[in-house]
Amino acid sequence: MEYSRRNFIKAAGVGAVAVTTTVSAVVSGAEVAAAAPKPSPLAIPDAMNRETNTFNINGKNYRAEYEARTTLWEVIAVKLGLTGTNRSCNRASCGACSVLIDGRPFYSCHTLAMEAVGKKIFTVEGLGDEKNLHPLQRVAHLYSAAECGFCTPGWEVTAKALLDKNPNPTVEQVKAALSGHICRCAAYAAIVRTVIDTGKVLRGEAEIA
Amino acid sequence: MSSEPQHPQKPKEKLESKPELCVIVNQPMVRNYSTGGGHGPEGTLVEGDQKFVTRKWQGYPPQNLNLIGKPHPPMPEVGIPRLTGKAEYATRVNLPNMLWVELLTNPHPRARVKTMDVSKAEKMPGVAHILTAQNAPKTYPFPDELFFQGEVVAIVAAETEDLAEDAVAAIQAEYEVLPFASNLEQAAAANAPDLTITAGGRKRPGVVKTLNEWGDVDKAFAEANIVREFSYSFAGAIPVPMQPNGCVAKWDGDKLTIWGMGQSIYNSRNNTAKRLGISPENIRFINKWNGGSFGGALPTGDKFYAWIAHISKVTGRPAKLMLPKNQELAFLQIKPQTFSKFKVGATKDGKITACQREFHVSMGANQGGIQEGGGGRSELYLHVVPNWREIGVLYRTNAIVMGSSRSNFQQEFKWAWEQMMDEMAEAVGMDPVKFRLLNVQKPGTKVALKQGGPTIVPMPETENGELHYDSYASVEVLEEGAKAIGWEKRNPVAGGNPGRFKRGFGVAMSQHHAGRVGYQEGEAGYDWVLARNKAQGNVTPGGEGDIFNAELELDAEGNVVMYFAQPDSGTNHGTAMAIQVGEILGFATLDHIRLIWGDSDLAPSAPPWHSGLTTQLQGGALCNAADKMRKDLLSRASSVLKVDAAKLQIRDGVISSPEDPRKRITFAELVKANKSPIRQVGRCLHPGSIGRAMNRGIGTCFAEVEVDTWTGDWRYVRVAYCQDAGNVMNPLLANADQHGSLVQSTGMATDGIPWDREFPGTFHYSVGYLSYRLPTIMEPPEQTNVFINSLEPRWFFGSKGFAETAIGAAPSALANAIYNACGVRIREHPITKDKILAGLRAKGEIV
Amino acid sequence: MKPISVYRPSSVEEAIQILSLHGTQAGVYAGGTDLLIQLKNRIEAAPTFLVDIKKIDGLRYIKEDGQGGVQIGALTKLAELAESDLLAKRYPMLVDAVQHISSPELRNASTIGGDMLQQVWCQYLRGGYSCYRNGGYICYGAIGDNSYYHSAMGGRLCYAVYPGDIATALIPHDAKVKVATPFGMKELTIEQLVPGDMMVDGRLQSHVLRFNEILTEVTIPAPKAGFKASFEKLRPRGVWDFAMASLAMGLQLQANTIEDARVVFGGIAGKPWRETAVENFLKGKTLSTDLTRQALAMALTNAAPLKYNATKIDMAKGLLASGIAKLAAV
Repeated sequence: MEYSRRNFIKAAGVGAVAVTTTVSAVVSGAEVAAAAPKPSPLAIPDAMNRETNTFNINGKNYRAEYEARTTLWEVIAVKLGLTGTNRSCNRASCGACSVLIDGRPFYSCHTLAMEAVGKKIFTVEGLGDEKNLHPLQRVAHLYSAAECGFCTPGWEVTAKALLDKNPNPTVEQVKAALSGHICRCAAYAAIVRTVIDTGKVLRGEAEIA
Repeated sequence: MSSEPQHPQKPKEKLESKPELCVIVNQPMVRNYSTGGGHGPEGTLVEGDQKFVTRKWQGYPPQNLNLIGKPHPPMPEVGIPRLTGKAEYATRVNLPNMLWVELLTNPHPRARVKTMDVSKAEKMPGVAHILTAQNAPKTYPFPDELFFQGEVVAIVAAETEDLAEDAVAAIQAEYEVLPFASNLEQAAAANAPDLTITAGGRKRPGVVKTLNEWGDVDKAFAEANIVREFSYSFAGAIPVPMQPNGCVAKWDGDKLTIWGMGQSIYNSRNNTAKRLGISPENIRFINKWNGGSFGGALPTGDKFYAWIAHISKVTGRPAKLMLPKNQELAFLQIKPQTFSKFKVGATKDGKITACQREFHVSMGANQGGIQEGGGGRSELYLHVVPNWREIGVLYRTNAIVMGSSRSNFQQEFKWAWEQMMDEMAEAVGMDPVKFRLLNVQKPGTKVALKQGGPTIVPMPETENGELHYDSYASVEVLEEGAKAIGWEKRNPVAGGNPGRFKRGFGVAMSQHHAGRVGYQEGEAGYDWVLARNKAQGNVTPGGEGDIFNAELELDAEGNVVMYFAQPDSGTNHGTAMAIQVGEILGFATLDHIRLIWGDSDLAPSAPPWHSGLTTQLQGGALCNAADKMRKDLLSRASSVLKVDAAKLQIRDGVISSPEDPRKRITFAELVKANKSPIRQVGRCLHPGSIGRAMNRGIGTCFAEVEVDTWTGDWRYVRVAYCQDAGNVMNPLLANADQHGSLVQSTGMATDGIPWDREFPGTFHYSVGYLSYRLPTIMEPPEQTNVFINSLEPRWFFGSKGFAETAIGAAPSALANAIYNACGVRIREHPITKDKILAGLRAKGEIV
Repeated sequence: MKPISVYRPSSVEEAIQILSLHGTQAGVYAGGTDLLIQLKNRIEAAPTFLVDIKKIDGLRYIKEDGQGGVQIGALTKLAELAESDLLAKRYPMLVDAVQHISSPELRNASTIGGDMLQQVWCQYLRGGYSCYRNGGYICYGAIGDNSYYHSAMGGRLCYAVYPGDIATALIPHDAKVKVATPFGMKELTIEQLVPGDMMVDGRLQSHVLRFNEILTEVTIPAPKAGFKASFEKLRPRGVWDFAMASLAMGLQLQANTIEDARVVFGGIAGKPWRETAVENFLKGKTLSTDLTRQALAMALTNAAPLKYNATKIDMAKGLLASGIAKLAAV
């Protein structure tokens, strides 16, 4: 391919468009609130921009104020300080930020905080701490299933949800259940082995040396 | 009595830290290294030029080992917090009253800011500060010219991430777009813009050409039985870590604390101090855990620390940067776009006689002298090539900066070289393994200075005229790897198997500098380097001229505390180093070893870690300290017990006389007698500054794949990785590391950087890892790791670095396997399903 | 993320009123998996007045219609479809398709309605470029890097492929959808719902729903005896990614004779691409792999690939061969 004016213009054009996009139509949360319609003759209820609610996390209740756009991750990790849940891609494409909501895994970066109000949220902090490790954590340590550890809190809660439902999963079931989790160090083999063998521990068929 | 039927109690399975599918092949302790140097008197080795003498095994031979070579889970203080969500990544640091920082970045491949209006953004709710070229610190200004898409234009600090983002979107910026060349096609074009820059007061040309030659290439081509030409291209790849790069900065009076992410704490601390115009002593730099880094993240955080600290100073509040992944991409070091062209000559029985290689590399927005990063000559080291010519062209481009990223220049150069070897094997009608066995460098090979090549970075091994191979299992990695994969089942004819799903095998080799080791205190090489550094005024920011420092402390409970700088990116080098220290100090478990690391207020200085050398170099410093500690403790015990130190033994914190069991004293008692903890420091040198060590890493990747010839889909069936690994410290973690190595390298083979192929200089990352497709749990194959324990005689316990060896081979092994399966040769990286199918169509073999 | 305001109506009527009030600035918010990406990327076209219909009772169910068919509420999660014994028994091909959508976590959040009405995944649109779908007057995909997610079957304005697997998989079942409008309910076939590349209320979109219309239900008629179906999907990775090409094929068999056929390709055009030429060819034939060669020759003859995506056609044909082989084998 030749370096040509055509390419240059095309690329420049793309850039220019991007600029226009960045400067356009941004309204702050406050301005949106002001612009939201007054109670209308149609009796439509007001829109929500900001509210305060209770979040039940690992069996404990926490109050937090949040905007309509605030993600569950921000409430858990920033507002409430339960920082064990890591956020990586922020686009629902890696699984690092997973938490359980009513026993099912969700990406907390991709769940609005308001969705989790009144539901039971479970995070890595609920799994076990250093004095009281969950078998999953003990086996994971034994097999070095966490290398850099950034994805770990995410897949751990998803694995717990799987084992709660099915304490005797096959390798294929483990892979399918954890398929929404990227491990960049690629400890995948150790992760699968950890979940399978944790099942054995939970079923009383194995013990940790 | 229970009415339940009685079942015999099934014994419970015991779960242990054991690596799966891991084979260790031990070589004999005493071999003929035939290096020109050799085994000297009293446990020494004489190096090639007879000038330097090294202690063999550094005094610690790989014998009677209690800890080394056994599987150990990561040290609890490093490993457990990762599992409980308590590992302190910079992204997890949240402080009261903290501001969140977001960037406005350059949308063009090359531009200059014409006008910028932040007045609207400044008035947005929650905005505390906006840093631009106008108000950036003079000691660390913003770039004047925006040399690549994604370069920083403004930094906004606000109460929340969302509010900062709102303000970024409200900044109005107009750009003057400058002529650009973002890829090799543009950079090599006749009308390419001149990207010469001035840096460090010197003009740095935009294009650097190199020409090196050895022997008589043209004559050799004329005499060769078989001459072939090949070209390959590599589109670039990137090692995205999980953790978003960034930092938290906080001031207490004049004292600044930074929680960062990278591969060095001292380098970053010192760079930041310089940029802020303050003394490094005033910065406490903390970086204990990283959510990966892979080399690519080495410079990323460093770029921002000073700006974030400045914002924190100006606003009087802690500030946090957590780069959105789409922006982070622009600041990671990437594997560059590379184009390689070969002309190769061989005899009819398969001996390579001549090679002409031409390579073109897009260096990206490198702001220094681009020739300094121009790659090694490791391909020409890999095989014996008696006559060669090498033409290199390196281009500064308006693209992301290239650099080390899961090895330096391995995957991209081996992509070409090892496919070429496969194609040559076919041209001469040989099996690819046999062809490599015939041509590969073997222990005992000497390569003359010019033959190994004066590289762009002069390789110091060659400075005295010869490069020697000794502890080098080049034959074994081929033979053992072939055995592990079942190479005999390979198709003799590419694509020859019938049916829709076709299987095939591929092999590739890689060699890396990572096998090089440094010299330890007291050695001639060490003094030589110190003197040289002094003469050159070469004091790196990491400390005193490339020196890794470490400290050991024996405390009142008899625990050994290891102090070292290196952050842990999942590398678990702390565990490998604890194993070595524990071995030297006579422990049979790691229960009495503690780690303190990654904090400049606590740990002694060291340069950054990279190249898979940490266990060797930071570990060398710790072994050095442990050696001193051992001697110190023995001498203390000797004077207390009145027994000659040489007649004492150390076992699990007890020093005793084997002859008289009543003569014993514990480590704790020695500390008590000393009235304070017993300390020892150690140091070790970086091989980049020494270059006197000659061992090298070599590895192979053997892959079996299955191609769906109807759709172009493919999958690995099995992979065998075979490395010359030296003595493996910890097979559990070594095995884990090699799994990551294969998967990451496969990711690099199958998914390049999300460059836009039509709009050069533009990349897409709008949907996270759907734009740059990171491998998932569904892809990794069953992987056998074979470690050839070549017992490197120059280093403690025969160890050697191997993290970046076979990793370079995986992409070309995959390409070779796909060719063997279905007859489609993918010379243009990346390997995609559509290319496989297009190749089958070109052969008229689609369904 | 862009600032948003959220309404929580308690009835479909109320939701329609709110949507009517805000026009194209409002949008239905259900699973949010697609919408939140748009909001995070600050796409100009992304709605900022969200109408959260999850507070509305009676939109999340899988039930029998009494005539052997099934009704599925628009808010039913993909995970619920994947785990439904009723669907697995009656429409295994649909369940197979659902199990290969995105990732388990996203299937816990995404709804069947959202999957069918999702925005395209063109990197230019998603990256905020001002294209036809985002208030501009250009399709970057047509002239740019169109390797994976752009049409190989031509287009009008927007060349992005329609990404939804469920719509593709529902067509062989002759499923329909119910849509609530300000003027009452209407019913559409899947092909009527997602004709692709349509200008509706001044917006370019893949589906025909107006700004104040809400998809409420999917109805699938009873499968007849002798119905066989297969779903194939080829994508860059086994998780998350959208189809480079996919195929939903349904055959109505009498003994081994094909009475009726549906051949629907996904991931290659701006809509689920129904290949009637192949369907007509298959009708009346005896099912066997002997049909493959002729079927492939007839398939996708009016392909119009862009610069980088010609292989999509070969992939789609490979999937057709695979589908025939699979159905002939059972």
